[in-house]
Order: sequence, then C-alpha cells, then structure tokens
Amino acid sequence: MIAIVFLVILLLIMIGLSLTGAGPQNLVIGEVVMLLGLFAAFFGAGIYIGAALGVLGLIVGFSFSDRPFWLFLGQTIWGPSSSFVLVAVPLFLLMGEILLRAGLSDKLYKALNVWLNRLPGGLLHTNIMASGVFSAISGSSVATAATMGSVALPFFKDTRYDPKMVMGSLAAGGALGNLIPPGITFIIYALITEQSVGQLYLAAVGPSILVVVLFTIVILAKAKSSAPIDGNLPRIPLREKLRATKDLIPTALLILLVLGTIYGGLATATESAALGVVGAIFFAALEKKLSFKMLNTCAEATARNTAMIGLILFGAYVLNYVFTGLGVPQALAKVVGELPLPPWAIMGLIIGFYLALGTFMEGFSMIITTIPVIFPVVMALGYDPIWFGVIVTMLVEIALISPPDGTVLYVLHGMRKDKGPITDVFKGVMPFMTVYIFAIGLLMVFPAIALWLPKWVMG
Amino acid sequence: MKMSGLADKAGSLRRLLERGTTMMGYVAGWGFILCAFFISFDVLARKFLGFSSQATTEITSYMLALGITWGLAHTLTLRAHVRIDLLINRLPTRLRHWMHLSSLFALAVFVGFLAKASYDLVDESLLFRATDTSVLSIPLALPQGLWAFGLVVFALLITLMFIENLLLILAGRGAEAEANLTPRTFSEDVDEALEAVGVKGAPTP
Repeated sequence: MIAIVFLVILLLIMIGLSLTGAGPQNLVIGEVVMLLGLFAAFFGAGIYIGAALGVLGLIVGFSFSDRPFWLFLGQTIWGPSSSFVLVAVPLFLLMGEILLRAGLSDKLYKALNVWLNRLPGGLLHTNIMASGVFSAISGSSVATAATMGSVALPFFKDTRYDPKMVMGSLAAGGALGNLIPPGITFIIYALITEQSVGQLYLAAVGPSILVVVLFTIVILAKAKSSAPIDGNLPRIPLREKLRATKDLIPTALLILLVLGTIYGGLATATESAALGVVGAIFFAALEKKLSFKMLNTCAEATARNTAMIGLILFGAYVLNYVFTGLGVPQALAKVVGELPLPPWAIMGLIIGFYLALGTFMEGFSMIITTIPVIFPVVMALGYDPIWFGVIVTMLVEIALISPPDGTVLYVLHGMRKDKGPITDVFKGVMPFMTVYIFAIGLLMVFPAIALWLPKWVMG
Repeated sequence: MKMSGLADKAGSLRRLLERGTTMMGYVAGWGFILCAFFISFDVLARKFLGFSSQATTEITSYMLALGITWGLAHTLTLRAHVRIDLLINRLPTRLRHWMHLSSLFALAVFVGFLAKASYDLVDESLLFRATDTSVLSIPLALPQGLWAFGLVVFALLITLMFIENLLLILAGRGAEAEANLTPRTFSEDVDEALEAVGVKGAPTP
C-alpha cells in the first residue's frame, strides 16, 4: 500500500513540475501520462510482464513510428537470445540448483560455527557468515536462504535464541546471495546496459563487505536481548577447530574455481559459471547426492527459470527497440536533466521508486522492465554505470527480504518447526533491512566504496 | 452443453501438445548441462592442451537461444511466467476469469508477432545463405530455425489454451479456466525450494 502511495506521489510531482512550467518545455506531458497509465493498467490487469512490455512496444510502435519497425523484431530478439554473456544466467541458475541439493552447506555451517560460537550473538553470526560464504558460490538469494535455513534451524532447537532474530539473520544472509559475486542480477544488468560483468563483480566486493559488517554490528547490538549468554560454553581446542575447518575445503575450492578464475582474468563470467557447474556436480557426487533424477530436476528448474527471464527480456527488448527508435530514453534523460532538482535528489527518488516497486514485484522482472528506461537518465545525471549496477542489485536484494512479499521470508517461514507467526520473520528482518538501506545511503555519499577496486585493478 | 464438450476436446488436444512441450523443456535444461561441460572442456583444453574448438562461444550461444524458446511453453503450462496478480485477486469471480483470459490474449498477440518475426529472420538467413564467423561457418538458419521452432510451438500452445479457456468460461466452467491460468503462488515456489533441500511437510503461508 505504501508502495502505491509513493508511486502516485511520484507521478503527481512530475505532473506538478510540468504544469508549473518548471519542468520540460517541449515534452507532451499528456503522452507520457498516457503511456504510464497504459503501463499501470497492463500490470494491474495481471498481464504477463513480458507480454505487457511487448504489446506496449507494438502499440507505441504502430502509433508513433513511421518506419516499418516490425521488420527488425526478429533481429532484435535474436540478439539477446544468442548472447554468450547471457549464457552465464542459466549456468549460474543450474549451479545454484545443484548446490541446493548437494549437501555441502551442512559442513560449511558446522565448520564456521566452531570459530564463531563464542562471540556475543553466537550462532546468529554463523548464520550471516555461512550465508555470505555460500553466496560466493551461489548466484541466487532464494537458493542461499533455503540452503542455509535448512542447515541452520536445527541448531536453534531448544535454545534461548529470540526466534525473530534467528529468522531475521537468516533472511539477511539470504539477501547477500546476489550481491556477493557471482550474482545473476549483475549479468542481466551488464547485458542490458552493455557494461562489463567483471567490473561489476569487482565493484560489488566493497559493498558486500560493508553489508556483512553492518549485519554483524546489528547482531552485536542485539546480542544481549536475543542470544543466550552462556559463559560456560566449552572452549574448543585449536586442534579440533582446525580439524573442523577442513570441511570448508570443498566450498573454498568452488569459490576459487568460480571467483578465482573471474578475478584472475583466466575466464569470463560465463566460462567460470560453466566451471562452477562442473565443480558443483563433482562435489555433489562426492557427497553421494548425485543421481539422474537429481540432475533432471535441476535441468527442468533451470529451463523454467531461464524461459521466465527470457520472455521478459524479449518484451523489454522489443519495447526498448521501439523507444530508442523514437528517441524516448534520450528525451526522458533530457527532461530529467532539466528538472530543478539536484542529481542526488533525483537519485533518491529513483531509489525510493525501486524500494516501492520491490514490495510487490519480483526482482529480475523489476530490473529488466525498468533499466532500459532509467539507465539513460542515470547516465545523464552523471552517475557511474558500474556504481549504479551495484545500487540496483542491492535494491533487488532488499526487495527479496521486504515484507510483506519477500520470497526469502516465506522460504524461511516455511522451514520453521515451531509454527510461529510470519510476523516474527517480518519483525526480525526489519533491523537488517534498515541497515541495508543505510548501506545504499553510504554508497551514495561515498561511491568509492564500490569503485575503488575496479579502478585499482584497471590501473 | 455443446460449449462444454468443445472445451473438453480443446483440453485434450492441449494436453497432447503439452507432452511435447514438456519434453522440449527438459531438452532445454539438459542443453544447459551440456553447455557447462562443453565450455569447461574448452577452457581447460585452451589452458593446458593448447587448443580450442574455436566455435564454443557460437555453439553455446545457439544452445542458449534454443534453451530459452524451447522452455517457454513448458513454463507456461507450469504457470511460471511472471504476472502481477495483486489487483485481479480482489476482483469478483466472473470478471477475474475474463481478466485471466485477456492476459492470455495479450500474450498471444505478442508471441504471435515474435513467432512471425523469427520465421522471417530464418527466411532471410536462408535467402542470403548467412553463416556465422566461427571456424565452422555454421549456417545461421540452423540455430535460428530451432530457436524459431520454440517460439512457433509456444504461439501454438497459447492459441490452443486461449480457445480452451474461452470455451470453458462460456460454458460456465470459469473456475477450471482459472486453475489453468492463475500464476504460481509464493507457496508453490517455497514448496519447491523446501523440497529441494529435503524439508517435507512444512507449513505454507
């Protein structure tokens, strides 16, 4: 509801600005409002998002374009269909599906817990750290939350941990899945905006560390009230700690295989995704979890999720092709540039817009739908394209854990054995969501948090 | 009564087509697994054995193109294409049924255009005997043809589903149409994730 109110306010600001003459002179505001209205009507009517974008593109094309634009439709969608960069998306999805079923995460969790359990907040830290490490091999937030949740929750049975914080920290950990490289959101962003996936992955390092640190601070601050203070916890001898640590080896090898090859410049994102799939299959086989049935299920889920993203991409590419032909993104960028608002205020509105959209729209659809139009505006405002890619990914992550619609929250809720109310999860995730949004604020003030690493690497 | 019988006929025809589209979905998925091994082999061979197929980029890109379009119909039968159903779920029943149908209609229009456009692209590639720039000089009409086939089958399935569900609604069996068309819910996604990690019988929201 808040979301819809915000969107309406945004629209009113735009209309207000144009009526007072402060806004654009040459833009026909009626057409823009009509387009936005049509958009809203399509989405509200529950039209498939891909079809809504595509049909809108056809309508706009037939009414405004004087060129036979339909002659180029085939080429327009063949482009993204056969893009080698985009091959990374099904491969990372596939890797996530395999890891979900591979049983590596159990050992990962236990090994990390041996080191972290004496910190104030205990197991809650393990939730964040284990999710963070798992994120470095998986590009999917839902997969991360599902995997870590299934492993972690049994540890909390019959303890005095506050269930709100337990669920909250697991959800927050899930929201690292796409931000910590390798993430799928970055690949789709890179495809649409023609940026480098490698640079985006480099830029994500700083913000990833920032968010993990902020999460840790939240847990430390809440440790007294939400975690049992147990001074008598046995001190685990170092020898045993080291023995437990060897269980981290498969995960560490996979991280090396996927991220090492990308960062080392040995492989492109697509190639490292392929290596990751093969590696994941290998370790699943070691854990005796590999079977034809398991791979078949993974194949089906991958095909389904790829087609789901594909249909929306087709729609977005058709719409964008028509829009670009008519010069809409450029005109919009010009209009926004002429607004009597400083760039940071417009960026603030854009971020607010994504947060609002995120409460009811799925992450991938959100970026594929909006980035073609918003990206030129952001460029015209003078922001860095790589920086904005990181911001958008963080916004998608927040969407996944924002009540009342965040998928991750329901995955975790579904795993609870104590049948507590879903509002526990909502309340528990709020502090983490707040610091996540705070991290975006920090990135606006200090873009270098994201940009220092790519700059340093590129010399 | 006649309407109802026709709807059943369309339904059994649709189920027949679905058998094919499910197969295509699995082919798409296994294609991705194949891609992973193919690319990995190429990376390793390039690094350690000093050779490369020099067409890996092209071939796997074509497999992606096939993978996307061959999975489209299967995804529709599982109701997994994204729709925002925030508003329609609050509409009165009869209106809601027609809204489901109209969203299918929009999909039919869009995919109809895409299928025609992809067919034209193949036609053009055949006419100019276009090939790619890899060492294999693969005629583009081949991957594009397979890609276009996925779109055409998708368009066919949508058309069939549109007819079936239109007849169902007209026959007063709107609830069945809704069951065919309503988007996947959160709880279905959640159930899938839970089943994958081996948690059974969990409560759903």
